Amino acid sequence: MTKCALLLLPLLVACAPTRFVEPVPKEHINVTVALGGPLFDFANTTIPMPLSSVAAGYGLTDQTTLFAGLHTTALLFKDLQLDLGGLKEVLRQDHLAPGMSISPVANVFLAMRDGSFRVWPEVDVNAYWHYGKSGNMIYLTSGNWFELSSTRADGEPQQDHWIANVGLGHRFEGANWEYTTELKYLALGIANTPNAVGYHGIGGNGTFGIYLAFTRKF
Amino acid sequence: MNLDANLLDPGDKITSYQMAAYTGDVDFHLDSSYALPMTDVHVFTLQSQGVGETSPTTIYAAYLGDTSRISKDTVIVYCHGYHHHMDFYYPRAQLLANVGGKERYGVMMLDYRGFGLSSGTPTEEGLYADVDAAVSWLKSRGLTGDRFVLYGFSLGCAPATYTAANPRTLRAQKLILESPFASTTSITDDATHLNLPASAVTTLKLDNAQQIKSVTQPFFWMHGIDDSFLNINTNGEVVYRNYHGSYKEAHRIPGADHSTVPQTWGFQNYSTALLQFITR
Repeated sequence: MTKCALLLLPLLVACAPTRFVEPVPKEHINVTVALGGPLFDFANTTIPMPLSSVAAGYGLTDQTTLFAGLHTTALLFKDLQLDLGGLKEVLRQDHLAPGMSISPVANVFLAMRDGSFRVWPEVDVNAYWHYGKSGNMIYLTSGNWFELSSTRADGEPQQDHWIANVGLGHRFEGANWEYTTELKYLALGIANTPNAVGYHGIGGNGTFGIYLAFTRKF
Repeated sequence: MNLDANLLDPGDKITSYQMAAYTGDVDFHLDSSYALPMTDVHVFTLQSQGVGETSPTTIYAAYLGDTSRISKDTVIVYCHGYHHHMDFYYPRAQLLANVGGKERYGVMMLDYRGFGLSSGTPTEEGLYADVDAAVSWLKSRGLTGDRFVLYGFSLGCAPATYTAANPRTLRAQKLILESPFASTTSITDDATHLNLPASAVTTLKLDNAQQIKSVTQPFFWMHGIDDSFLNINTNGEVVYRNYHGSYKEAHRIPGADHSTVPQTWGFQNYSTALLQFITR
């Protein structure tokens, strides 16, 4: 049987790139539109799922940012999916020593068809290096989702309580805009078969995801 | 927007039914010893009207066997899987017709609405109504419940299990499931690794794991241990465990993938096991 039954069913952990890697300057606002998702088989080729989202972040201080994201593709499925979180810079970049930040997030999900509600906590840890005169940035990110429910479909025991992702990103820095590309390896160490979706990972585990993000700085 | 159309995707289209003469892809081929005389392969239309529907839908069905013996023969109603049509599944129906001897059993199969040449669009209620339309046709020719066996493969496990649990026209004597999914939620959770409700992506409530709890007839389950599409542990095992009727037997087939249980198990082993179950 071809793996196309659920070709648009995304790993929720893969719906968006890392929201914020470093803090937004105090009292500034960044608005981001993101596109991309996990690689999957479609029409005899492999493409990233075309998942879209928007997010806004506010610089509470120069070290702390609050943000909210809305998953616009999910809205088309009558699902309200939000990520509400904050980011704290814990280490400022010092030459080759990277800046580091930590970002706790609440992933809130409401299936508007029947009112089913879920919350998944997430903690991201980021390391980033600005380079060159333009201030462009390379970053590494580790995203960690937590499934707190003890059960899954049909009342069966939940097997996966920690879903880890790692990513490598690059950000072009402009005066008013930032352009980010990110490659993620999703669901680290979790078998990608058996599965109705044909994911592409390493050695039968996880899957890769590719994302683009466009950020307007205010 | 939802994924209903992906879950109930009729897939490839045909312009006429070829049955034994079909040359497209199939899961397996049978040798000439399984061949049925074309006089015993009957393709016809049925009118199917589901609950809440105001007009009937014309669907195609096929009966493999002597229609004049429906009042005497045991008949297997074969509910096929996703993405194909009766031509694709003909070898599977042919195999069933030969379980226990040449044309020992009559086999009825159908293309759900939207599949093959059947008109209409696939729906959850349509699956149940279409299978019941086939059962009604058999009942009108003398089939009784004590000679009526339901067989579901993959997607077809949903209407087979539902019809066994909630008979509309005739109560089946036995239920056979090959490679069933537990529920739309199990597929969703397998794909996302989270406890995500199926309602996030589909309006379909196909739920074999629940329906099987209402099945009291003897139950035969087979599933490939190496099913790469539907995890045996989160699907077939759950359905099997949730059955609390009078008798059940499980066949976990090493090396078999989703669509390769009969051929991996071996046609003879498959046939022998089914014969023992049907005649026990």
